Amino acid sequence: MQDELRPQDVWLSERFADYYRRNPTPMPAVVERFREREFGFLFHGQKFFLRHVGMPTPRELRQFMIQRAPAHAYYSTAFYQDPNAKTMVEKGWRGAELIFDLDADHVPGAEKLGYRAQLEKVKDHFLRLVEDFVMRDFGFAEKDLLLTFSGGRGYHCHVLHGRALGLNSAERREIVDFVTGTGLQLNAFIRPMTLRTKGFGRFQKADNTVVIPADDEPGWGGRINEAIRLHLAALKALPAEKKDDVLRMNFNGITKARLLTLQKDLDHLDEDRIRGVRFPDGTRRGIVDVGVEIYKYMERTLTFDTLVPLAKGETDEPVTSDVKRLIRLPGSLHGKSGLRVVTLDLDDIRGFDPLADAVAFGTEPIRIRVEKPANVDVAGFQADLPVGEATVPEAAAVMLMCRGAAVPI
Amino acid sequence: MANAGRPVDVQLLARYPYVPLAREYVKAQGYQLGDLLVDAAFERVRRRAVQRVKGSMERDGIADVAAATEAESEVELLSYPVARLLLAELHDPYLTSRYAVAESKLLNERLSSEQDDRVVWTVATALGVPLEAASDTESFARLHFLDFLRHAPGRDPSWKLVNQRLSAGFVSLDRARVVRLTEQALKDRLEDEVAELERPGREVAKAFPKELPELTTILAAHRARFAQDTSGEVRIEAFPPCMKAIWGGIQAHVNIPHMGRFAIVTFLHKLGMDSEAVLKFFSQVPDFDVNKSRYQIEHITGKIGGGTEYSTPGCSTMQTYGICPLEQRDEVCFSITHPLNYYRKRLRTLPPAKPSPPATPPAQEAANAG
Repeated sequence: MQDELRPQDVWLSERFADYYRRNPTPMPAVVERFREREFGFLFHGQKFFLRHVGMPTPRELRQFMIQRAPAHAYYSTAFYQDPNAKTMVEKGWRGAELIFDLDADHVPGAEKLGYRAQLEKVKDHFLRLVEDFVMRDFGFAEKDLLLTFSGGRGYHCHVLHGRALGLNSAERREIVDFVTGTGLQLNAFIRPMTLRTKGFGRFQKADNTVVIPADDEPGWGGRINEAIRLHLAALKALPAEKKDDVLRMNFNGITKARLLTLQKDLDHLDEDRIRGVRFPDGTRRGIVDVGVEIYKYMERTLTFDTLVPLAKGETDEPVTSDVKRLIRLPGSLHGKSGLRVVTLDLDDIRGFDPLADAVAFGTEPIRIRVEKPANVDVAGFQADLPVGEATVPEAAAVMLMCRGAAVPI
Repeated sequence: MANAGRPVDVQLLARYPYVPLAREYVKAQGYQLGDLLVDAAFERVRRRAVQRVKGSMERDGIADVAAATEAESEVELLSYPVARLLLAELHDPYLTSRYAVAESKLLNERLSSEQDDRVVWTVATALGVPLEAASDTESFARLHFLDFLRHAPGRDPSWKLVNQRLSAGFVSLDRARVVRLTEQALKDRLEDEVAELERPGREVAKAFPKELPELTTILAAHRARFAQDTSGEVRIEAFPPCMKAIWGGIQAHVNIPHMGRFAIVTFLHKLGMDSEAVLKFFSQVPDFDVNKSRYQIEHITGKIGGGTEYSTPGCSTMQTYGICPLEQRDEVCFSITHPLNYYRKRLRTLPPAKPSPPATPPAQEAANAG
């Protein structure tokens, strides 16, 4: 099982051990049911995954971290009667935290960005996930949540609320589907309607109209309203020629006259009415009601595929529905970046800069040999390093070696 | 309520004998199960109990009876614990689940026709659907989404969480939906409770000397019919849209995602094919690479790799992984939660199989002879 250790593996193990010696036991938030957790570890330069490890007390965990200095440390979101057991049946599942895991991989367009920009973008999506979905829709309070930066390219939200712990996998999947809009039935929310309204001139209202949920509707109702407004605004904002193309594409063989009418309809859309108007029965609903052409346009184009991506939340689906997942240990180091898994208050997330605030190492100058040209930007040190020898601050040296771009001299 | 003012409304309890209050009433009145089984005075109770169990295996379910008098109400009320004794004696998981469905359907009928909203509210809450006052005027009640998830019937997309009005953890419900959730809650509860009932003593067998063998016979006939449904050759016409789509993709040499291949292999395996038969089935596809797939198939069917046999993913898993062709679902899809149940259901509506089923290519000699 033992792989040959390279100099950088030894160097990183020493630095990681030193970090664990200098810092308190990781994972303060879960100490309560500490004995029921399974732990798992990967080590620098070694492929085997050590798992099914139970720790009697936080002290043993701390000693383990100092002695073995793992590259990656995980704990189970599940509670087990016997975390040391090798099979699920013997382990005896006793519930699990509800997890939302958002990584740069799941954020559309993130792959084209640099590390710093990726982190920023993931953070925005994560805040939306936590504030709009987990808190506003699901109604969990901040005290029920454990929020962490993963040390890599993402964030985790653990729901610790007692009632969430017993959810089975199918129920968790329903929760993921809610976030991602999977299975959303658009026709349950949007209804074509005929509203006969009197009027003339520019107050003339079309007979056909589309009634949508008001912008302040809870859950997906409000989201659909927002998505429709975003979609129509984007269409309106297109340059005239491009707009023609888009409309023609959706209306195969549309006549010039009708195209003009549609254009005019678009210009006359009343955003306030789309957001919501009071109906005679007292309810508030949105109306997209200008013109017969826009009605036809909506019928054809406002589909699941157009709208849901504009309003959905992002999260790693299998992680949430898994009731026996291992997840990064708060307070431990991420072996691919050298950054710390940081526990965060919701208020701190907006101002949180992982490349400064999750840094675990210092400024001591370290001589390294860069083996692949690398860009590094951490703890205020920023450089494009060519292949060859260099002297960089400790935090940057750790990051470069974790990435496999450099070796110690 | 007709009997308002009385401390306990027996007519009401008779309609909902599952609620704790009904159980307390039976206890408080001093009825002993032993007496219910032997005493001639309770003949009607025993007959109704048999009817309850038998009804659960009939198409129309348990017949409702209008208990007009207090005596009739007591018969109805007491027949429920006796029916449970019968189930405990028969001790059959299939019957238990049929019974749970039938009793909960009866509950649905009764609650739906209930004039008084408060009764709906009380029964729902007593059966583990903790309703709260609605926050808007349009809905009947609201329910925490975790309770909603526990009881929501999985098969109907209109019950998916994503299609609910969800605000601050609460789902808004109308009365019909509350009734449906209560039905499901009772079903789940009965399945758990009856499965855990201990086998009663000899007195139950003695009390139903003719009825028990009769029930056993009916049950055996049901089982036989059920088994017939999935035996025999695999018929592609009865595949659910998801499996048809995957199968179509494999035939067209489209790259099928891992989860899709996994799903169809487990599906075929659960229809009774071993790994050889699955391979043979796939070999209908021209230039299908048998060797490349053998390992995977044998792994999934448990032939190698620790012998774990994987089960076919259910509809919700298929949806999460994007393998369910949502647009192609048909009416059968909306009545099931698992691809295998689709197959069983569809199979019943198909004419008998033709002589040369797809899984076994016609023998060469036969072709030559023709």
